[in-house]
Amino acid sequence: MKTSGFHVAAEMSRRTWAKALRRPVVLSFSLIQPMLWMLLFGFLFQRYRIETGETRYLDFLIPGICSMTVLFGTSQSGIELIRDMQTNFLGRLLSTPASRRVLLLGKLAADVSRVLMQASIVFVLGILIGGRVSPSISGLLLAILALALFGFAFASLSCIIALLTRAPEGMAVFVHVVNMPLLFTSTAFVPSRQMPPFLSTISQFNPLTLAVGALRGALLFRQLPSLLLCLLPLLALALIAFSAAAGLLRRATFD
Amino acid sequence: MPTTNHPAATVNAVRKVYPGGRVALNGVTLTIAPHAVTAIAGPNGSGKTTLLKMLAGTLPPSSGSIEVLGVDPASCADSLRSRMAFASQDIALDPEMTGAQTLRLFAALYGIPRDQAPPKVQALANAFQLSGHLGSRVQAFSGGLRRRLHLAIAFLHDPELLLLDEPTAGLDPSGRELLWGLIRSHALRATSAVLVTHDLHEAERYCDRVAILARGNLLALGSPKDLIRAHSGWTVELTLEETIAEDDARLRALASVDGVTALRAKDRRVLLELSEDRQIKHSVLSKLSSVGLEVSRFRAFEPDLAGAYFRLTGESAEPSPTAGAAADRESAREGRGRRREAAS
Repeated sequence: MKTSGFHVAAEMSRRTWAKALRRPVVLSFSLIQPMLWMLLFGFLFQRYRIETGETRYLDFLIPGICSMTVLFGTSQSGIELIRDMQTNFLGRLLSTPASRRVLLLGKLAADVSRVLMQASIVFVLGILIGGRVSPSISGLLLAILALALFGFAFASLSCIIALLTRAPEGMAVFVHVVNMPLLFTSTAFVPSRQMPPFLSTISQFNPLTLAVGALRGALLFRQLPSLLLCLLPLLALALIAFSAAAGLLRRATFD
Repeated sequence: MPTTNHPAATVNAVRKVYPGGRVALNGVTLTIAPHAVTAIAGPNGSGKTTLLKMLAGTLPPSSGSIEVLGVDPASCADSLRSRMAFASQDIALDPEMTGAQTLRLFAALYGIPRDQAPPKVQALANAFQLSGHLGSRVQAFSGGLRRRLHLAIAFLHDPELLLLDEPTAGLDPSGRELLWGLIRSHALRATSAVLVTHDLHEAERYCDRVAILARGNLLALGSPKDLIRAHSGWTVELTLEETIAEDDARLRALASVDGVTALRAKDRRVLLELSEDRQIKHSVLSKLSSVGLEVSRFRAFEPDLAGAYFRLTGESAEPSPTAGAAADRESAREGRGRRREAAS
């Protein structure tokens, strides 16, 4: 019997979604956290002079918080892999003839679609608390594409860490060592022109800045994200990270 | 599909040394017969699971060669995965998934078409008596139900070769009967099965061939009948009216009876191993009477696979001088072997 790649990916996605829905507390916390950040940073930075041009700070912040939601959500992707290692279930999945690349793709598709939905909810809540954002349909679709590529890259990276460390502690370190610096060296909360020069330079190479820039262009300024400057680097990052994660999974051995 | 002329697997001079220098297998050579159920038995640490993992392709040998279904499991692991199934000793299930979700997922992963998966899953659930539990999450399953689901996955795609590590562990007697029935019926439908077991009574009853390993060496491989004929004999257990020391002259007289191959004593219990001739036990009875030993209980056990196992592994043929070790052997004999007591 030959396995159907689409069937395998769909079943893996279905499983990942079903498990996520069984943890409503985790799901709701991953929504509460960005909302808190939006409210706290919104009120905090309104008191200071943030050079966002004609744009109100809350409007400027919404794309940053949406991107942050994707960053934080996808960085948890590897935890599920570690759970599967601890229950020996991953080894059982890998003992089947299904392609390991497709198994990973199905899982990541579910993880990314889930965080995109969470980011969409954060976006709507941002508008409900006073954000003024009115994107075009094409801008919205490209913004979603940019976030999806970014999410795919970071979910893959999270899986790489999981496969290398095989320990939940490794994921905690990853979240603190990678996420926080990435967040605060990006333009998610502050425009780069208000950063110190070295930080401004770093922020230009920060993938979160790419995602945030694509979202701001598409959602605030009705400028379609630049294919060359935003989408292609994000696509390249997603492909490289996924290939590395799939390569690790292919070589991995479990009892 | 292996034919009757092609073994399901061949293992040639395989040696496995783990990091740290522990030798798990020490030049094992054996052939796994096609369409047959082969048991691998042996004391803990004898290399049984190592051998099974090597057949599954999850562990490479340090030296020697292995062929499974005509190919090298290390280099052709991808192609073999659809032709065989390996169920580890440790249950590998996701506790958050339901039984139905688990079987449906693995049906997809084994390439069973969408339209064929539901009847296949239902049939398998019926066969493993899981139908009433498919909607429940695995975390709510009892240990026995988990084991059944864990094993059911291995049968999903009708593999040519089933590799099962201690499949009956944790199953109740009806679950054991059920599993053995399924393994036997699959063997009739051209599936070869290799399983690790500590239950010698079940191995004797249900397996076509038995391999006995000890300390990484293959001690014997053959049908249960052949192994029993070659390596087992009658065993007599006496319960005396008095406590007796192992070096008591009356015991030495008993040990000198022609046909008694080994004798052990502890407190009031005496174990005698006899050569195959059943008449020897009458000589033993006569000697008991002549040396003045009064017996409150006399039990004779037929030659069986447990006897062959103990003699081959040295646990019975070369009794340890320590009483503790003798007691361990006896409890192992009773617990694992469930030897057939003959009318006497």
